[in-house]
Amino acid sequence: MDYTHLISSIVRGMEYFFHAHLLLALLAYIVVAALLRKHMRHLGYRDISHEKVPFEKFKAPKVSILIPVFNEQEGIIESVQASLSTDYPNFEIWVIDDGSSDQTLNQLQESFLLKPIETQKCQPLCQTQATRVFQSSTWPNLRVIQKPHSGKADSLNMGIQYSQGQYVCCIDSDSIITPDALRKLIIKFINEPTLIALGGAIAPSNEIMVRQGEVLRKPTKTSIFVGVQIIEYLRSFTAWRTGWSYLDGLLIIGGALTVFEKSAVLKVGGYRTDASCEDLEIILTLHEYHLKNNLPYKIWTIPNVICWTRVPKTKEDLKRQRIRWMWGALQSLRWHKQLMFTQKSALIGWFSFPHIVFIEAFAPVIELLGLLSMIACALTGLLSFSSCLIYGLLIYALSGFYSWYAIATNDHYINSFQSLQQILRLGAVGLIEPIGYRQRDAYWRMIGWWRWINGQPIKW
Amino acid sequence: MMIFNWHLDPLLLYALVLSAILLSGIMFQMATIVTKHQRKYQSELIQKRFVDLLNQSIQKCNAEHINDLQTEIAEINQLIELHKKEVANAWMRLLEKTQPAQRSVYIDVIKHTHMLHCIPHCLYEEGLAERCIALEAIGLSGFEAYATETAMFANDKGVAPYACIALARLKKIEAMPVILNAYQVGALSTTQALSAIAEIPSAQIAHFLLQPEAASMPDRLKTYMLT
Repeated sequence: MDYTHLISSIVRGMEYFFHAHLLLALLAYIVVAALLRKHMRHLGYRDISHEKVPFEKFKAPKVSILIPVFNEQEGIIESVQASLSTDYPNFEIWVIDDGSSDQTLNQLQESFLLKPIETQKCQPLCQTQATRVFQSSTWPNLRVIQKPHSGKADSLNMGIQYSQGQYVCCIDSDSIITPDALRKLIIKFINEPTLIALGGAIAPSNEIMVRQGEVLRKPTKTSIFVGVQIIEYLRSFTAWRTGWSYLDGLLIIGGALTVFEKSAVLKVGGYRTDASCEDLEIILTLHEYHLKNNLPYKIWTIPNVICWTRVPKTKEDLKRQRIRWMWGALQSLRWHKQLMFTQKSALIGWFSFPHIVFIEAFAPVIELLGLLSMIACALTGLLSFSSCLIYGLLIYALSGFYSWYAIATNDHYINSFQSLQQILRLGAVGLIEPIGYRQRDAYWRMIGWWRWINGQPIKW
Repeated sequence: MMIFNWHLDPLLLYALVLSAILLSGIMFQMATIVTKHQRKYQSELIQKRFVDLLNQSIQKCNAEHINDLQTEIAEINQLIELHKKEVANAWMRLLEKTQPAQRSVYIDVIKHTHMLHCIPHCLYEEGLAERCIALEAIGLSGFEAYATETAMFANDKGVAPYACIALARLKKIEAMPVILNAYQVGALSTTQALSAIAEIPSAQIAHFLLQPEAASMPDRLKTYMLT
């Protein structure tokens, strides 16, 4: 075969592959985005008063808020105070100090006047035992567990074991929930008896301020670095995961705010302590368990409950986070590979799980290899300049469209931005993000891939 | 060098068309957001003007200048004539924010206006959201004249929660059979039914639960009842 013809066929093949991958991703996005609207209607979401169920007039089911904490002296008091200000009447808070070496426990003791109470034997969920347990003198429903350092998953397991609620609400120690968050989440559990896990949306807290329990966005300009992360969270939580919820094909809920039916978590043995992404891991485990045992269940996320969490402020922190996410995702996806093409659920087995593996997990690989091969082809004259320009434009337009769709959806249903100026500024960030930021993110995720393939462990 | 003429290459043409569609989509979404915010801003101005006029009227009432209300009433009526939707929304939000005991002050003033014209307009001539607003306004204002019409919406999915809450506010325990029926036909979710029941005085609910009719209450609702 003629050499030029062979090269030409390879380049052509790559073009077809690029188009096929892009088209599949776009089609999946269109389907999920269309279902997002149905899900919002299905949830009966409307910003009028019937959402404000007066739980204080009824037997509200008990909710246990679990806050695992490790060396978080900076934000722990604010986070606990935000949880205490919830307007839901029947709740308890368990702060699990995972062997902090800083002033976290002292600060909790001083702020909430903690006094020691009796410890329990904690089995079979936890690997460690509590060294001390405290109760607040000012807030009797606030308790703090001190334990040796064994990781976030084990801390959550200890919290689950100690908790007395019908539902457990797991919150990150650097996160803030609004007073109405718990109420809005529990409404969904009451209305949907088969619901076993429910998450809220996650948004960066770096650019908000809390005034009398109300969360306001700072009027100052958001940096592009944080803006890009706001866009990513909007795309992921508002548009993407909400759409998957309607299909009952949601495979991940952000760990910063998740409510579980406690009995469901106990059935699967709690969080797996050797998982790097415990939030993805527990959801996959719940899916697998319920499918295997033919139990009816639903796992959802709702975008109108926002958990404000601190996002990385420096490039190094962001890089570490992205590498860990990729590594942890690959670890959990491998552990649950039996979900691929499972006969128990056509949706999970043939759509949702293959999508997360082939479209999402492989995205950085395809993105970077595509970019590198396009540059190489252009430099060697295998691809014309106009072709490169058109493909670049297509990728740019697609990323920009995803971002603007997420912003428009947020504005339509959730309205979490106060002014048009804020929205347009964020939209501008969404149009900058595909140039440079996206490729850098893909590169970091590739490092995660590389380390996972080579069996190199990652650190928090 | 292999050169693909983009205008002859179907793959490149397809990529170009797709890019154009997506970029148009971005422009469309931008335009939608800007238009929506402009409309929202206009609507907020009207709502603010309506509330200001109401407050001015109340101040005059307090100062016993009731006869001087004509200017404010005329302006409120003009707003109602031109912007029924916005006025109904402002009225509903105002009452929602006001303590039940203080609502009568506003209701006494609004009775002098053409406010009642707003309600049928929003109920029958506007969309779903406006219908919900009108039903909320009926319940919060205690417009008993609309009780029958409110009951007609009790089984309509989407507006049923608003209709049942409004009916419970107007008719108290007499609304219970309508609420339970709406729940049983699936027009209300459990929490929506509970929200409506919460508008009925606790003593009346306690009495109802002792009656034989209470047997018709679904177990799922009973689970959450305190008494």
